Amino acid sequence: MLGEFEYLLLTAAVRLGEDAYGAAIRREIEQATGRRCSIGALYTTLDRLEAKGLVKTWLGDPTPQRGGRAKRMVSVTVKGTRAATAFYNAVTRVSRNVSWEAK
Amino acid sequence: MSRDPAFPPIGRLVDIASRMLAPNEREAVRGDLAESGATGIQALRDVLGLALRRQAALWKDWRPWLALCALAIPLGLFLSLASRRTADISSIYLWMYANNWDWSFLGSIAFWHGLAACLPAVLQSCLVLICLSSVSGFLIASLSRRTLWVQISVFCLVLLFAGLPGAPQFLNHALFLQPARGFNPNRVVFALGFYRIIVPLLVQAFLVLLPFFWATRQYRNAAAQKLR
Repeated sequence: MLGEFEYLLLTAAVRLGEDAYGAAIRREIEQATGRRCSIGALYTTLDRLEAKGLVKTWLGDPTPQRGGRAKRMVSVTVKGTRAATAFYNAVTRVSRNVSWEAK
Repeated sequence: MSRDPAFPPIGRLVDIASRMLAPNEREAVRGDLAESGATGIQALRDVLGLALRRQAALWKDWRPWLALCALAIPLGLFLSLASRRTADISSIYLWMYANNWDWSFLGSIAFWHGLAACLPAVLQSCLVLICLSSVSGFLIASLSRRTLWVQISVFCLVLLFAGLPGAPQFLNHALFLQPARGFNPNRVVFALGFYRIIVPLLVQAFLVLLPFFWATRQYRNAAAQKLR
């Protein structure tokens, strides 16, 4: 079973598609959660997901707005998609008939 | 690596901190930070945070612990005591000749006999210390490449502070039998701050740390050349 942050990262990577790389995923997570996402958390989680075979990463092309530095591109694997789907389904099932609105 | 203008005003510190990361990761992380418009402080915090996480992950393995407990700490302790002994013996001879110097000694046969007896002993002691320090540096560098900076820091701390009061004196007695400082007639030598504090520090710096760092550097350069 995935952790919460792992799920966030996989979802952001899938949403970004071919433009999924470190800074873009970080931005996406920060916008979605309203919380700061540290580079340390992002890169160590990426490593963990890659070790589990849930994502694939490689060094992409450098761009001028990055000072000519390469990007760490991310692509979610089939196994990663399955793991994220399982996590989403579990959260949906467990949340059925539960209201989190303040009483 | 050149100074990155993207992280004012502490771009140099970000440069240094990012050297703790692997080259590919360094490239991607610095690019991400530049793209997100991070300030110098934010960039430094992020780079240090990642480097700490990376270092912590390495310590989940048993090998760095083995290198630390079986090499860095024992060798630091041993070399601290050995360097102290070398410094103390050298101090006694140095005091004998430097603090009691008289030009008439040059004409005395006893003086030359004494010098011929003590000089080889002191030089041998220094040479042994240099060799042991080099071998220690080589061993630590070869067994703990990725945690080298932590190992070196611990080694230096142990080396510097093992001789302080409260350090395991039983080891000193076991290894070196009779510390020169404890011998009553030598107290006049060690009453002088130069022989008590400065000479041991000089011996540690030049006969231990310098060969130690030279050996670790040699090993790292050799390993880097092998990778090319």
